Amino acid sequence: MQLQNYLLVIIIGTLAGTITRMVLLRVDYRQYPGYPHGYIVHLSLGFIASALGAVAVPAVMAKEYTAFTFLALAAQQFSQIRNQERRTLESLEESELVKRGKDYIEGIARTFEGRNYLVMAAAFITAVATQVGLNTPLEWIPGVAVAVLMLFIARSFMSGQTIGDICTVEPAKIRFEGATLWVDDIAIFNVGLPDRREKMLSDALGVMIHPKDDNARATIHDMGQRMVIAHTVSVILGSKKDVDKPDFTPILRKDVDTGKVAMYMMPVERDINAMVECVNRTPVLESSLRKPLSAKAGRAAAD
Amino acid sequence: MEQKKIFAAVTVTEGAIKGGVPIFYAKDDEQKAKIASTLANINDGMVHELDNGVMIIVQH
Repeated sequence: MQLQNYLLVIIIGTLAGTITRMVLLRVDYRQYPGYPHGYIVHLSLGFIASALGAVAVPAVMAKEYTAFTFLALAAQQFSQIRNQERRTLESLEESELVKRGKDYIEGIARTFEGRNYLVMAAAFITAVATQVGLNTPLEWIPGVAVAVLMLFIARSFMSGQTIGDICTVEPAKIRFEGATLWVDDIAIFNVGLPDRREKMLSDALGVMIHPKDDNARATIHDMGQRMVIAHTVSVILGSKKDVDKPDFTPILRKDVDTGKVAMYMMPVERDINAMVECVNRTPVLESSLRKPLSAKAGRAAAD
Repeated sequence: MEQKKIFAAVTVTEGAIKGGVPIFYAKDDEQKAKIASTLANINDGMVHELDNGVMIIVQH
């Protein structure tokens, strides 16, 4: 009877963890991990993580306290995953025309590591709930209820801020003054060839990103964050850039006085509303999130 | 940041540029743009135009 109970605890815990990993593993515009093998790697690791989390509960119940130290071993494995993800993305980066940037790669790698801990915690807490529940008339119901709860917590944990949350994005006008390309009142760069200038006038799109407060201004001041915006929009709308056409590289430049950022790009799909939407939906990187307003000096400087 | 390098200049005005980089002379503005475009294509560079009409090809 005891052994069967433990088995049930492990199974419910492991299942909860694995399902959480599946939910967290979405393929989206980041196209990563966009392949069946990437899926398999992460699902298996998620399974192992949740099994470790779930097994910890019966181990403690059976007074096998040393078994708990296996969790430390797991932690080491997960930091390996982070390194491995980073290496993979860095080698893919070389052939990327519009680069993700090191900040984004670091962010993705950290997310992959973090999710495994999240899964392990979900499995552990579910296993605890199942164990407690089995000693009451409710039996396995608390375990399943907690599993569902963990799933929702994990999901809300996963969704970070986007540019749309901290900035307002508006369409902007592309124009030339002599050889200099301007997006509204921000100079982007100098284009020498007259026929390139004509092509840009007819094909290019521009948006202006206005930070909502000083925190947002400090965040989009970060070059890594701006590279993420350029990369995201280029993946979704396509970019006319090629190795021999560096002029078509998407560029984001800020207004030194106000901190607003202008973006210029040559999209394949020329749709300004879609471009504004893309910028709005771009994730804010953990590493570029700045909060000067949280500091006393920052607040004093703001007014 | 990667290093930027000017590796050629194109002009119609003889004497506008001296030394430092390879200089190409064109007979008119049209030819100047064509030469600059070809040079940029060959070197995966970008063409910039200065106020005095000199075009430079820069690798970014």
